[in-house]
Amino acid sequence: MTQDEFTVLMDTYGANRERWPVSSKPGALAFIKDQPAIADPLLLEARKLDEALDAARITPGTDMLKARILNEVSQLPSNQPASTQPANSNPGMKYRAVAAMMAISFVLGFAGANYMQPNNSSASEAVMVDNEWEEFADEYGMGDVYEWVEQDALP
Amino acid sequence: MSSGRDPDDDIIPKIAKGDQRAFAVLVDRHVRSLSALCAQMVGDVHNAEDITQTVFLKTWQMLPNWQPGQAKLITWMRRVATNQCLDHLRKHKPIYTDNVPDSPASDPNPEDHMAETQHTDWVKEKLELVPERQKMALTLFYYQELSQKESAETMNISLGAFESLLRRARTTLKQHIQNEAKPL
Repeated sequence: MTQDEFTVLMDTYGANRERWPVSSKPGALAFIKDQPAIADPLLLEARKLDEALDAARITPGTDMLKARILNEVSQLPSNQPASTQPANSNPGMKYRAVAAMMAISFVLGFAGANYMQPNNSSASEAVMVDNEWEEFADEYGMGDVYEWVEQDALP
Repeated sequence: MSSGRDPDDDIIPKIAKGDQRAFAVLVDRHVRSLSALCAQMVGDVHNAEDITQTVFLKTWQMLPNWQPGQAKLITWMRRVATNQCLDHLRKHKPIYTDNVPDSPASDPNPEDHMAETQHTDWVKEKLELVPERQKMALTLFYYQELSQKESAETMNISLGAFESLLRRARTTLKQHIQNEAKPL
């Protein structure tokens, strides 16, 4: 190993020979033995930097963190991938969708009933389903509808 | 890029099926090393804990889709951790507040302890000046004590590129330290 090669080794891996690449070890050890006047100052300088790096080591505690992670995971839903989940694996989702549809229909129906049947029809007859509401809105335009509602002047 | 058998092979299929006990084993195996990696990268323990937790949660969510043989699980987790740390570093300036110091009351020589702590903080400040990728190389090789090959694999770069990065990291740190009068 040449002086330049030894310098590069020190600059890269430091003075701790445990960290040196296996392939470089024999050459480096031979250089230290044969050229101590050159090798020793380089080793000393590299060792100082190693010690500085050691001084900056941070060692966090992990017991609380471990508990925190496990607690967090226990609160997560199943970790099964979406592609392997059966279609009905989340029944809550389906019920929520149905409930949302019913709520929308109810609100639209209730509004439609007010709009269309202000006089003699019974409540059941007054319920408007989604597509009827859409047709109604399409025919008259939403701006007109709201105006008529405010003026109680639905056609 | 995987080298050899994955030491987590015994628990990966169980975790993929939602086994929380197997996941606890995974946490037990790697929480110390990953939180140390994150702490070293971001420079403080609290943020490192948050990032470590994120890494484990991502692992839990990812494992059902894990493809064996591509990389070791811990290599993947380290990659996620280092990427999360880089994201954090780009958004925040690191601070040193809680390096789990020994209790001063139990220190036989408080003055020595203070001097040592000051020296440690001083070195850490210098380490903060090292560019992120160089710091990552130092962290993986020195603090995580990974081999050159494992470190390069984690950073997804060639061995030659890793060695070059490591050398530049040491040189940068040495320059920052030498630029101030304080001796090593």
